[in-house]
Amino acid sequence: MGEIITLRLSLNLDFQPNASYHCFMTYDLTLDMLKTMQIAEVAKISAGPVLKKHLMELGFVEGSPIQFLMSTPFGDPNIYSLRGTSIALRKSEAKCIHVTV
Amino acid sequence: MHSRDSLTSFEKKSSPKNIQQGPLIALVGSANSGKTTLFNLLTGSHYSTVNYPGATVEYTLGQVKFDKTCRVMDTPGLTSLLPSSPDEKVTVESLFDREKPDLILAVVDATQLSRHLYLVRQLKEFGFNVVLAVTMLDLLEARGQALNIARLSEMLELPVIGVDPRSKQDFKALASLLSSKLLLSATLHKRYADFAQEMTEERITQYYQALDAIEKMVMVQNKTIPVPKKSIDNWLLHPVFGLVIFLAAMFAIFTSIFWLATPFMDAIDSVFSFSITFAKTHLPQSWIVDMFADGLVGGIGAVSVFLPQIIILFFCMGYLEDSGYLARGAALVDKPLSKIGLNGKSFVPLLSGYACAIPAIMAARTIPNRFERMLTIFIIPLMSCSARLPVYTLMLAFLTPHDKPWIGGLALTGLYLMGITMGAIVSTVISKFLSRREVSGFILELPALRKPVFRVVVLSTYHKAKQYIQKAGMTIVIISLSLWVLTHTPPQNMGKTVNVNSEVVSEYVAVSHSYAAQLGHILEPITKPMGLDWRGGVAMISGFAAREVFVSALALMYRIEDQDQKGLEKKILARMSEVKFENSDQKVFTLSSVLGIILFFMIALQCFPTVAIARKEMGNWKIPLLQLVIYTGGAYALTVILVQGLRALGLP
Repeated sequence: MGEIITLRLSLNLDFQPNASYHCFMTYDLTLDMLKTMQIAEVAKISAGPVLKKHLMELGFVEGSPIQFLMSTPFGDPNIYSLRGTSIALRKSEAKCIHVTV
Repeated sequence: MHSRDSLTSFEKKSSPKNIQQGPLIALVGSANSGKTTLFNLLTGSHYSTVNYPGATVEYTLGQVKFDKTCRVMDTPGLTSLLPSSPDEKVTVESLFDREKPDLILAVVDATQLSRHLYLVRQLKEFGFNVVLAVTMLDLLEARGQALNIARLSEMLELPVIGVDPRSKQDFKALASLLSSKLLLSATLHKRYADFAQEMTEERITQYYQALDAIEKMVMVQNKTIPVPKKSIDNWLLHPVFGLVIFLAAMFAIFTSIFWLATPFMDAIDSVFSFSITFAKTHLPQSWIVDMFADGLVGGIGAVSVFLPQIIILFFCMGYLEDSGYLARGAALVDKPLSKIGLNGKSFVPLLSGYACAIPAIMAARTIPNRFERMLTIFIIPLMSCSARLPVYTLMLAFLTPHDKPWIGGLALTGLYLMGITMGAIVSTVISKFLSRREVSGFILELPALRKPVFRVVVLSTYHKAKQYIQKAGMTIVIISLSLWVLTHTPPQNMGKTVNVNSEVVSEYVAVSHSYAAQLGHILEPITKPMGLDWRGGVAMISGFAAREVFVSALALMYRIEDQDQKGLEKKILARMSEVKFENSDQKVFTLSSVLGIILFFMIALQCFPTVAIARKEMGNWKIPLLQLVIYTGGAYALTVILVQGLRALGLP
């Protein structure tokens, strides 16, 4: 038994458990709920520190206007317009971004 | 100035010969800021790819002449000094860990000023010597806006210049600005670890608040131009047309690899076979001439023959990338790829894998998730790289009727599709069995669609092709030479080329007593179940240096001399259809053994440069060794099953 576990761990290489990338569930209006071409404003991000910081550095900070442009042929990711650029986000990530209309 | 000691020791180790010493200017900016376009214009064609000794860091270094010669370094795109993917880490490391640049030329896109100034502010906070170049001012103008550059410079307390890559005047202005700022010294007044601690969420918000205020002050709204309701993206990412366009683009790329490259490949092939014949007929007969002609020139020929395909694939990809489509393609395939454990960001590396696995594995750096990056690197060797093509072409030419070349073409397309199918299967299996602990994500900026700058695409293609030659070329030439030596030693069997009639016979005797033959006989128990005799076995083994060597090794092993210019391929085909096992009437190349060869080449990991680069990129031997064992072992087992199965069914 011990041997099997070691083998598994060694195959897992250096992958660190990265729970901080998770996004928390809420009942607010989130980015993925916007209708096509609807404009909103970023309110807050409920996510683990790694994802949250990354999104904020990309410009998802409180008060930034954001627009849902379109989805992609397979329905995911979605394309949003933020601070002059288009950004593709998976729905699972858009769920972390709370918006106000 | 910062420490010069470490700088000179680094330069001695890795600065390429054609780049002179001098102050270092680093171009830093977001991936879509026009940074690379600017780099190409600054340096012209005068640049090369450089490795930091002992590290996986790789970047392009060029030179530019102002008052004195400066070195210019292009870095992978960066959004923040807190890296979020391996390639961003490379850039940050290049700014801090090793050679600190004397000057940073930060490139920002005027249409997304606040986002791009975020990085500039971080750089400034560290005390880097920064010059700011603003690009895409024409796009801004099209939106009815203008930028007050003097004011921006004042507010940021940095020298700022607007640059249109097409304007010579802008280039001159930039050059004089850069050379005047080079005199300043840069002292970093912060430690990186402290900075990383300080960048809290509150801090990021403050940064953006300040930048939003600056943007309001410097942006001048000349007239309001209504934003068009529909953009080209509505077509490119349309549920139906988007898919059609995507498939059409992929189809166009791959058909051009087959059809467009063929005349060029034939031309290169005939040039090399002509020079071999020329050397042999016009130079005095000796083993040195033979070795030079068959070993060296043949080896170089084997490398160059695939250049057209590599160039075409890289050109098409560069064109699509520069136009902004490749990012859309990645977003489009993200969902299907995530089903098999990959990511939309695996798309570009996998596509490059169809040219050559080496740059493809390096391109996987853009994948932030470690597991998905590993998986992408793991399956890249299954993509049908151009080195497999000559083997496939030869084997399919052997199997299909001469008057119907389209059958071969169709079969070849099938083999290419098999590559990605096989990759999908392996990827699915691994992602199902290995527990992944990282949550996957896909965040990708889509650059504005624009007409690609032809010169830039050509330059980047040229450099990728050069990289291929440098990385794979030496190995192939060395193996080709050693194989020649192995087939011509021990030396007592040489020099028997008395007259033309007995030549073939005596050469045959020579090869059957050579070291290569001894090796082949030892390995025969392994190669025989695959349907190959010892000569085919030796050719197969030499294919492990680089797959394409298999074809030239077949020619060497079965003593196929290219005396006239009828083309090497026809000769090999003719010889293949007649060779028999020694002391037996059984033919070596039959339907089953040739199918076996194709299957083996499709799966086996036979390329040592690939193993080396996978080791370098993953940082350990586990992945490359697993690849080597699984792919090569699996390929062998499947080939034996196929060949023996077909023979059991009574097929030849």
